[in-house]
Amino acid sequence: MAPSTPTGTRHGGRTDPAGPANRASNATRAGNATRAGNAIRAGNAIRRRNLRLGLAFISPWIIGFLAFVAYPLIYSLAVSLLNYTGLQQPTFAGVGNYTRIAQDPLVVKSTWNTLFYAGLAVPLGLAVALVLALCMNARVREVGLYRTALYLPSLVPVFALSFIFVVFVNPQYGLFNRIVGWFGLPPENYLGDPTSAKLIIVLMAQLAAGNAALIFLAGLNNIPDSLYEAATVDGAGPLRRFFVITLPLLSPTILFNLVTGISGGLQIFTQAYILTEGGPNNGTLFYLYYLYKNAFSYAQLGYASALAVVLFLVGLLLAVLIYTLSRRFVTYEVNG
Amino acid sequence: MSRRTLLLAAAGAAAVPTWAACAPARRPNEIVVWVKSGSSDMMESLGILAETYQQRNPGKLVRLVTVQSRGDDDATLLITAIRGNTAPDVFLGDRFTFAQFGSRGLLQDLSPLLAGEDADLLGGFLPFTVNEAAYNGAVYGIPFDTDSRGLYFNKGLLRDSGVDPAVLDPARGAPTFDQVWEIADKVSRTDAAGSYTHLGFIPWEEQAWPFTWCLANDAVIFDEASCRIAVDDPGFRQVYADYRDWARRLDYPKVDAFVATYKPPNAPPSQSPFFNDRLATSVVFSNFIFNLKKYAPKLDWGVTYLPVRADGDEPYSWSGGSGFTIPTGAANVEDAWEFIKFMTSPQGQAVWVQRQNYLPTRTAMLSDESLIADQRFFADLLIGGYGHSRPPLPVGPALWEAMNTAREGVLLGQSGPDEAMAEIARRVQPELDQYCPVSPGLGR
Repeated sequence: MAPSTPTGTRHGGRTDPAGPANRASNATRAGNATRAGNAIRAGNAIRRRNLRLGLAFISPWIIGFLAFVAYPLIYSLAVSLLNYTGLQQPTFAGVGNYTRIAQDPLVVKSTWNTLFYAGLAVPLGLAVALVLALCMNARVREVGLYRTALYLPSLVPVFALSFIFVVFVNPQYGLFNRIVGWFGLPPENYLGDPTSAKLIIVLMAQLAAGNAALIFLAGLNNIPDSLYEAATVDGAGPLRRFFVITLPLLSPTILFNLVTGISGGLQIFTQAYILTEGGPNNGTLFYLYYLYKNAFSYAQLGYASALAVVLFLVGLLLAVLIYTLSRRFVTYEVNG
Repeated sequence: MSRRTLLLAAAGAAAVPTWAACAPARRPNEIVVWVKSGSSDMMESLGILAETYQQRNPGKLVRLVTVQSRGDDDATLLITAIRGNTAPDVFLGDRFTFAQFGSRGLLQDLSPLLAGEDADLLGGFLPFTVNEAAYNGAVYGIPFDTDSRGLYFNKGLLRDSGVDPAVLDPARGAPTFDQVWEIADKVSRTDAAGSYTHLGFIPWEEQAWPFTWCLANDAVIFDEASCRIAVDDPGFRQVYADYRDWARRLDYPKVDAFVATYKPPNAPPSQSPFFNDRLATSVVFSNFIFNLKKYAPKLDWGVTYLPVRADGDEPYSWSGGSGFTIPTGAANVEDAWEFIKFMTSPQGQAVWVQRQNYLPTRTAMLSDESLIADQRFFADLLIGGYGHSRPPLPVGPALWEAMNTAREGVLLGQSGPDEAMAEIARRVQPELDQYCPVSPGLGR
């Protein structure tokens, strides 16, 4: 069977002066074209049907995204332009809520607290998670036990952990004060000082490093053993192998954990809500906690929405910035 | 399983919770009552009252619900319930928050309901309790209970420290700050590490709020004429100067460690350095008697007036308390109103006062010895006209929080009195400006 060519297809509708042989040939071509057209149509129908089915199957996610992400985002943007308590008639505020943000001393303070927390907790969390992942990756028989033990603290809910920490840092009975007491330091209420209270919350965040460690562990398992073997043959020691092979090849995982860590760091809330209620002297009043208080304690939904929009934009900008800078340090391919 | 069956099953599974969410969650004639931060003891006493109401009103059903919240001004649950059309019928909360909650549309004006009642329904209540639950001509709540503040002292610890407790006998009048410090210095002790093991007086613990000491200084907090928080008032500023001096005198971090040791955050009411002979004096409200009887029944204690600046100064105190209100969107307003009238009636308050050691809000009941035998000292403070309340402003809780946060800054040495006043103004005035002018004649 002659293949259907574009030429043949192009000539399909005209009178052919070349005789019956050519006519027969043309008929064959026309038949082929029809069959091809049918096949294409059938293929398209299958594709459309698959698309419909696919959409139907992921519709719970789509509906969830539209209802619980897209709609609140747009609604929040609209409410940020209003003076609105949530129950009374809203009035248009224009950019009033945004200019108020620029003048609000508590926004400055809560932003500083949040950056202080994120600036310490995120890099420290990455380091702790990486160390945990390396331990979880150790080639020993009891590795399953280690993995369970190291991941277990991540399963404790944050609010439960917060209550535990209240006891942990008790000046008289708490383990933390006992430990620092070994170094000659007197017992103190570390939750009673703004800086140390923030540091306690940073410390507490490290107990959740197991989640990031699991992602690191997956990344570690993707690094080919042959690279380590070759490096060992070339005389590279463990430290050199770590910095030349492990770290560069883990860079996409580091990037992922960094972005999610910063996103989580900017949304720090529960620990301050339970441990310190934002105090002392607003020392642990984090941005999201202040936003929450405006929305629900003071019923200033317009202002709280404006704060949410600003947080969204800052988070977005940071993510874009990190992705742009990541081109310099992230290695996606292994060039063996 | 065919795809069609799977999809139908999935749709069915999704429909069940949707149907459940839309199904009616309450029975007819049910009165849903939210109690803010109600302890188990309080809920038990309220349960007895609710039972009595149900017996007197066959067919009515009272459902008591405890709602926990953070801080006085936290209206999170109320806001979400109202927006979700599941508002309770009755809310029992801090009376001084009603002006703020009402001004934001969370509470109903009860004036139309009062119009159908005896004209003097509110006339028998202590005037400040009525004023505290009103704002801009609207009545947002009916007062249920009140309290008063005093200086409690642990007689055993004072004796052990060589102090005769008789020096704090209220018959001698209000002690001066100097006298209290003199006593406290004899009690306070430290261990080898320099940590406090015993303290005589902590002038920022429990009810020793900035507002408490504002009264000692005759401070003006809110200037009605200019609708401004009176941060220029010398008495107001003096409170923060005192806190700064007291923090230096006692070494604030050491006291903070002491408090966190014996009364850590979220501690139960049974835990108090006053109960276990660690703290000699404490500024607490009248209802503390309930805790003393329950958790430290053998403690030898007394109570006197709050310290005054100079010998012979007139005593002072202040009162808060709770009230019943009807939130916006309540489904069963008629029954809610009947329930509120019963709870705030002399019969309702009598049960509450006797069981929980609160003071009644009905003036005549303060003279009933059978009701308030334990609280004679505090009842006399109210009868004597010392029961001031916090100014019920549309930003009352926000102001309260700002004043207390400013205190933390001063105690920590991170700000001075001037910065504290500036911080209060910056925090509260922009919010207050939205409501100015604020109707005069409220509070006090």
